Amino acid sequence: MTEPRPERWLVTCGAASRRIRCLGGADDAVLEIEIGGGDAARTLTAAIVSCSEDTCVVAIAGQSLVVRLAARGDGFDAMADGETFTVEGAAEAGPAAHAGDDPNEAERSETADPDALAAPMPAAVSAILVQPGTVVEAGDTLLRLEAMKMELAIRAPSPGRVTSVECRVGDLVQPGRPLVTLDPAR
Amino acid sequence: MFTRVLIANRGEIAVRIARTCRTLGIPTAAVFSDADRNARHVAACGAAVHIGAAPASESYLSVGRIIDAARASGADAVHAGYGFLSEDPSLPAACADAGLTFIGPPAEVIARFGSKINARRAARDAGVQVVPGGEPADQSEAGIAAAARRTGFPLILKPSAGGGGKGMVTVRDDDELAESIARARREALATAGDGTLYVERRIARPRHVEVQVVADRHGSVLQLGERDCSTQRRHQKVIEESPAPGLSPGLRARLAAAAVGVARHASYENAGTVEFLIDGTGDDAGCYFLEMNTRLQVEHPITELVTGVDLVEAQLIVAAGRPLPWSAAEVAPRGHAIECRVYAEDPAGDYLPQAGTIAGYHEPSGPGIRVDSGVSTGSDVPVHYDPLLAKLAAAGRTREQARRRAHAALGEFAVLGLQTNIRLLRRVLAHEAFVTSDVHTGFLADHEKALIGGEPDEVTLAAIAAAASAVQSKHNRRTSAGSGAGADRHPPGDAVRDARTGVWSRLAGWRLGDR
Repeated sequence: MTEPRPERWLVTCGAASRRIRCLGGADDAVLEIEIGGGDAARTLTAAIVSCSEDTCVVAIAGQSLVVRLAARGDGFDAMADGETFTVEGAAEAGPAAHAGDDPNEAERSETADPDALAAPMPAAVSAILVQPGTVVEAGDTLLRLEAMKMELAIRAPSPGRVTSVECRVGDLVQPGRPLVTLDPAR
Repeated sequence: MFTRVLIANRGEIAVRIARTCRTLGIPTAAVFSDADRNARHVAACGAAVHIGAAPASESYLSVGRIIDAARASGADAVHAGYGFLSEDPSLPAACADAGLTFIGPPAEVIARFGSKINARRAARDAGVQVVPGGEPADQSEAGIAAAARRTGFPLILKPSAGGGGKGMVTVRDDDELAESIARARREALATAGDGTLYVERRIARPRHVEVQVVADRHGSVLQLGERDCSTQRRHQKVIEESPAPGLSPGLRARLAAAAVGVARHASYENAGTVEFLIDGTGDDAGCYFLEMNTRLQVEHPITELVTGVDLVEAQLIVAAGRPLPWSAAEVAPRGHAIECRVYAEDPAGDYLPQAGTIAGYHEPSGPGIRVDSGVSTGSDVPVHYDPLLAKLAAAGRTREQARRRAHAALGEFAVLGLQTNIRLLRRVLAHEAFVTSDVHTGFLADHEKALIGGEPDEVTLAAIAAAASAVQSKHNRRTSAGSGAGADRHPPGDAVRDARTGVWSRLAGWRLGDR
């Protein structure tokens, strides 16, 4: 019961993301790869030299690449030639139709409040220098985080008034977790 | 030599120390916190003792718990690795009280060099020049500000009790001084528990070169060549090499003599590293003592690769009271070695450390390649500790051969599920300035754009998508063959569990020789 082809992936490396469509051949050893869409689309042929559950050797455009993969959500984390990629399943209708499936989406939307300042990395809250109502200038330190022996100041991006403090000293916070909400001065 | 060595550390260095002990037939005991129950270093030792909660202060930094663990495991010696308690004189003191051998220098030697202010005095006493600056006796803000103004801007404020680049604050001008002193003091208190600061002039584009020494109790002080640690980010070393490229023979001899002089003058014992800043590469280059590290260094493997000496073995020999069995000629460096530190961090995001679970892991190998690591597939990288995952060292007959080997090997290195600096390391190794040995401590900052930006080509992206489709379809075939209906993709978040159980979780769809 092989899944129907073609498969559509959104491959991301750093800030760059590309939609890629893979069409299986008669056997799975040769794939037609289409990058981008419309007139700019480019088609390549890839041969799967070998494939295990975490490593795939791909021959493409006269070179051979060893790709390491680990499943993540409905896609993969991947590495080749020292570069890191994320591969997400991309539905026909585009990424929006698929957004609900992303397990990280709920966490991300928490930070959707543009006035909330979030933890940039997993860290412990080491000091809170403001409370609800504190009026701050741009650049003022609101709180300090500590991770892996490093101190990191969370500063006000603009002047404003603190509307809420969402953490306590000693809390372990994950990236994206809102820490302080700021009502920017209008 | 010893009945059992307790390894009071975690991660790659604990695994590495256990390896030499195993080679010498010495049993080992690991210690672990709540966060490290399943860590690789625990499996690498013959016994393991739980020492407390995840925060280091409640486990790896607790002298009492380490001593208790040594007693509980029947150890008669303690190796502290680097970081944590390795340079805390209270550990060797407590070991002595408990009748345990501390594998390192005596407490008073560690204490002397642990105070960077006293270390500067010790170097001066040995006739070695130190970085121009001041050690103000008046530690008030005004006292430090006065010493800073006497030294001149730009300058660096450093914690006297610190080390390893932690808590250093660069001050460009007088306007920044007050806030910088406050910040340096906070970081000094946080990282070292002591707010005492000193001042060093900031030398433009210096190179950071250090000399490895080992001294026994029988009057022998061996120097094992130097390491260049100039490729740094945020004062943290990223790539090191041995020997330091481009030094004139005269300068190399001056560095070695200064290092041996400091060690002898201090009645040093066991392995140690004398760090210098050098300004120039000729016989008359500026050459300033920075500090002495009284422990095994992170970057010790490159010295091992060029000298053939196992430094952990040397430490055990010295700690057991035996004379070092090597002559200077026997340990003269040959060839070249380069080490790259693989960190869980995001170079594009200001090098912020990353924590999480390693969903996939593959180490390179090959001629001249050595990997020291403390993780594997499924390992947790806790927020509580240093984000160093592994060290890749490459040895070659020449610097160029070592560089090419390291570059190729990093291309085979895979750490999935966490951001790492592997791509950055490869780009540094391929950068023209690195190829021509034009490195200084500002190299990474100067070339940041070229080293961090850029996008992969379409062919690589296509290959990634092809691999994803191939693995996906293989997985689908397996699960449908294995369990028929309901053989959907594993649910999100199951990657790690799958990686741990491997084929056994889907045994029905698996056969030997399956390609």
